Amino acid sequence: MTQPINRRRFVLKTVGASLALPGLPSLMANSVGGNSAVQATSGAGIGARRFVGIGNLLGFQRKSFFPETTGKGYEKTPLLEPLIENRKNLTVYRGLDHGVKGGHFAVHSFLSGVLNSEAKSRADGNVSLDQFMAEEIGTQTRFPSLTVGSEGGIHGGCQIAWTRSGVRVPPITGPADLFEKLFVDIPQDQKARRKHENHLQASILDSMMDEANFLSRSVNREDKEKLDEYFTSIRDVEKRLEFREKWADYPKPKAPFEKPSDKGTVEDLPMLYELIALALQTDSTRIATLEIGGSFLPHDLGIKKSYHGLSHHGHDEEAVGHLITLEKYQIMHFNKFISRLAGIKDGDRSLLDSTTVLFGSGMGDANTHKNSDLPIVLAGGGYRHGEFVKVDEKVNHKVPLCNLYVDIAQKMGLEIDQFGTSTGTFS
Amino acid sequence: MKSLLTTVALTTLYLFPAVAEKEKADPRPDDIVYDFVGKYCLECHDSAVAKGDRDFEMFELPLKGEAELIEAKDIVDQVTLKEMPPKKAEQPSDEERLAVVRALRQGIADTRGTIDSTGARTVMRRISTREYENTLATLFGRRVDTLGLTGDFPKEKTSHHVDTVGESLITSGFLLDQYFRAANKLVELRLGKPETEVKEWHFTDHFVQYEELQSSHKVVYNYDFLCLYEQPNTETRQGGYGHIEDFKEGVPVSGLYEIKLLAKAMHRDTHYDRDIFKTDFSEPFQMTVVTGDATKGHIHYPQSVEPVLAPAQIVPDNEYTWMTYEVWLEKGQTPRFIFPNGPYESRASIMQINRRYKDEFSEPPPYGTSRTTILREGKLPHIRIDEIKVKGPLKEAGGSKEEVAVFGKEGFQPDKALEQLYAFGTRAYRRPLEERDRKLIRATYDSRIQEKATPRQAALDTLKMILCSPSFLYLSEITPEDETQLRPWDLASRLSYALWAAPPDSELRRAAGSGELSNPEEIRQQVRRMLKDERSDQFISGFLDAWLSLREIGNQPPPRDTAEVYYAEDLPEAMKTEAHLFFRNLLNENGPVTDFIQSDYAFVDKRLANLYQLPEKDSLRQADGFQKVSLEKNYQRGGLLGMAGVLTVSANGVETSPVTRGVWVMENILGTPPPPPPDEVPAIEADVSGAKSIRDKLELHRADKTCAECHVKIDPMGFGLETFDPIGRWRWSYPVVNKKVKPLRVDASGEFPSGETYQDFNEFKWMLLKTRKEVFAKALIEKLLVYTAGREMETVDDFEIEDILATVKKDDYGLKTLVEEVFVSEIFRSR
Repeated sequence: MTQPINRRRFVLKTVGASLALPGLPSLMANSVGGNSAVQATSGAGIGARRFVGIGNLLGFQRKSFFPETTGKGYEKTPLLEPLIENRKNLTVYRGLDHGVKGGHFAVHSFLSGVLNSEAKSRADGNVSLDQFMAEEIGTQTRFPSLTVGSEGGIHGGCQIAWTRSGVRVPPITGPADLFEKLFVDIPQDQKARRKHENHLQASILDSMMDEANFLSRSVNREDKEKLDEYFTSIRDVEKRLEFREKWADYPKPKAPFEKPSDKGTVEDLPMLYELIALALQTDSTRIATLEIGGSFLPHDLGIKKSYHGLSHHGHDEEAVGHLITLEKYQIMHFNKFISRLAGIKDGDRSLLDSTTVLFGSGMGDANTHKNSDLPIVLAGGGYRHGEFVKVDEKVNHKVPLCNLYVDIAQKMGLEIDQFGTSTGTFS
Repeated sequence: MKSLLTTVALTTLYLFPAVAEKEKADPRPDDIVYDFVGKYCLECHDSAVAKGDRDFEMFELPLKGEAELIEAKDIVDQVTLKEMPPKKAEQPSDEERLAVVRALRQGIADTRGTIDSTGARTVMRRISTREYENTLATLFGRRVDTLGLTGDFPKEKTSHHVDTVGESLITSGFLLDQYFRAANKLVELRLGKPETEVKEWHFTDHFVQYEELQSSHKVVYNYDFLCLYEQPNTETRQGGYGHIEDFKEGVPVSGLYEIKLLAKAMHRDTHYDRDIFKTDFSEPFQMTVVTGDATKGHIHYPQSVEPVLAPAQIVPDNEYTWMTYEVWLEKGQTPRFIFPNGPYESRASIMQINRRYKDEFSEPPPYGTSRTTILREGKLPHIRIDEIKVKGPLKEAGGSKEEVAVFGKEGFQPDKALEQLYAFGTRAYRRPLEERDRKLIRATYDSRIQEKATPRQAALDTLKMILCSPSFLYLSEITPEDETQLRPWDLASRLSYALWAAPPDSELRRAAGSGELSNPEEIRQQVRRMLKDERSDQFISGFLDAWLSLREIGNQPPPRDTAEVYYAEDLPEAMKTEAHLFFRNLLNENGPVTDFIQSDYAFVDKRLANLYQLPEKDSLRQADGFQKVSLEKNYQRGGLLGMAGVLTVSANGVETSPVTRGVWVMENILGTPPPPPPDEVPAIEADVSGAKSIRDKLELHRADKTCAECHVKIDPMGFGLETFDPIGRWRWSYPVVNKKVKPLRVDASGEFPSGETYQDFNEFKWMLLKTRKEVFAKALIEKLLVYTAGREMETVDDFEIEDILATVKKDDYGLKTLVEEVFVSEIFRSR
């Protein structure tokens, strides 16, 4: 019987320290260029699969969004126009949704397919795609995932990210907080408490291992298989802990520029995208979501109306015009984000190639409170792109949007064949 | 293998009532079998055709191995139920059937003891999430559901809906990580809290409510009142939760708190149309308290952790009255007040009142969802709170419960720390500690002391270690490998987890310690004692969740617009309670399990009496709870198949299908799940035009021979339930899908594969009783064994299952006898 000894061998490796920082094409590139911490950590997860999900609160004007022609030759519509330079990097989908009802009360099902009110007895609750994947692959980065968004918005707002226990992941509400999380170290006392917990858990793992070792000498074949499962689990926790300890000690990347201040989502949008790109590049996280929710104020684009009020446009030309302005702005910055990722090197490919970006909304038509026929754009991630894909209910059976999510999760390396309300894979 | 095993009781001989009659010169059994198979089976089941993958060309007595044993049972089942040979083929006479069944049964019996078990034994079993929470509550002497410890645990995998099978209870790194977090949270919040003086808070104003209510409440009340307008968890969430705006930070430390509210019920006698509110205003308004945590989501929305903290109390009408609740709150939690029998969807009701009663209001009349005028001039039913006092943490006489439960009466004693930890270890590991256990406990404690932790903190950290240990997480397995029967300590755990989903109590530990528990008679006494204890409710609900898959209620919820009552009256809860009380009653009275198929009584409360349209709907009050009512001359209810819960889980929320319900009956009631449909067959979907019934569509489907093979068995088990809608309401016709087409009348008749027919639900049940009583009882015995022993049954287990069935039959199918026999069986008592 061995005395429980401290078997922890947590080696702090400076991962990828020798990798040169690729030239950054954006405005921020210069300020990041000479930053050694960013340099040191960039490329840390080379080739690793990443995911970004972006959802807005009130949808997009379908008439101005979806093209008529399917396939590669689809025409540019007023709302897709800002995306055209990236058309080879993305796919536009029509006819997908979750089959839920509830208007504003159902927008939060965008990444889960399941209403929170119906989640309680479901096997995985209303876990959203990002959190679901973060459970598997989030252990390797400082943040398993980042949820950026706003607390407010009509009837709770976007509420894009949910854990399997039905808790909405509280959003980081502006660039200031996001910046702080990414680049500013946590206070010493918190650090110390976390260290203590990690340390205790490590020593508990040791005694669990000892005990399991003892048990394994006395059990039969079937039980050995169960114990193997247990041993594997212990090793998995060790790995998780190792990462946690590593990140606790490991300095955050140095800030590439001054801490930005919050100016409202309209003005902050490019900065939020930039920080998400940096978070991926520095491998601070591999999963992020962005909500364009209640804090996106038309006022900041010179429109003196409420966004929700406008959304019930009743086909009034002026209101629709305003909405197109607001939506175009959102799509334009999404386009810039895609280009930004395409310009960042990730090993011998681009960060866009390793990042699946999903853009859309849980609202199909805000004017009539419909959550069907959602606007969906999928970019990057190494998929074959360039098309407008229309899923016709009359031709095919109804295809749940979750089927596409199964594809995404599989591509991210998860061994699953079901997610949310999926009935299979999409492809 | 399972599906074959569980099929038909070998002794099912309803077809041959005169078994006693003696045959003259008995032909040799092996000849009987040889001739019968040659004459009636080989046409389809020879090596060349092997229809249904069954090849009987080499089949003969004596049976030579497990494969042949299974085949023999299969033939007995098919021939007994007259499902084979198929109707259109040449039929054997009843005498021929009887002879071959008897020969085969003898052949099967002869193999007893000659065919080896494949090593059927329970795999080292982890306690499930449900048992884990319950175990912690027992060890810590207080509810733990306020902590949300297991919210992030992966949902347990089940084996045929049973959540206690060791094989399928997977452990992952993610879960182990969660165990540590849970232990850390539990121990720190409950035992690591600082000494805190009793504090008092008094709130009289600034009762800010849900966003959409704020402007009207500000204008009309200046936030002077906290109003509850609806039951919690409606779709639009407007005033279902009342929180204290100035107490959002919650209580400083976990503890007992006294909450006093000055409250009254308003406008229960409103003149507005009752249909607007979808609630029963003849019942007094109720109020209770749930937890809230402003950092864990919107304070006005349902939250993932929000157990009801105290029994609901009646709020007096019109007169402000002080009401007192004593509740347990965790650090950082704030109380939220709910109105469980409140109106459903307050937002929608406001819109209706504004529209329908606009003439009653001063100009300009309100519109949309505006509340201002209604609050000022209207008669909106609600609960109004004027003042709230909170006091705590209250001191508990004799020390806090968890301190006593974990460390003993004197609380933590630094100089006896190890002793106290060993004692806790014994309870947590459910067995006497061995030296190596003590060594690990000591090592953890000592190393924490060396690291300069206080003795108390070192002890708390050691508790966390114990709660992550495999000896805690897995059911005790100290029976040596070469012994078959469980040693007393292992058996004690198996008993207490089967019956209470909790660790053994002191009495059971005593019986284990003294060795008495090796004696079947002692086991029977313990089982009787434990079943009388209310903790055995865990057994009933756990088993019903598995057997009838009642756990799935709510998984495919009906649309809110067609089944409002399902939400407005919390029917899922009522449905589960009904099944629970029915089982409990049969268990207490040793009533016949055949009552599960057909009974002339039911347990209903006001809600279910309404749903079932029973005469008691007018006499029962909410306060009466559930009552046993007579179903004499009622042909629409009775037995499991008349229960809304069963009818809800066997539908998909939106529509019903005789196929899914038929499969459900075959799987759960008869224990013979049909094989899954072939991949390429499309699902049969409801006809959107409304012109064709599902029965017509199935008729087409069955015209295909390959489909017919299974559907001829499945469909008749579901047709009889067609007169029930997706939440178990009786219906004579299908819902209107197309206004131009007359709604189709439901036809609930069916024909069993053997040719017997029934006309409706009632006849269907009697037909089941007549032809499948033993099949049902046997399936129940087997399911109970799977649930309690924690493993799937194997072919060789069938011998003992038959023995139990024989005993149960002799005792008029009494449920208590059945349960007791299961617990004293070799199967249950073996590793």
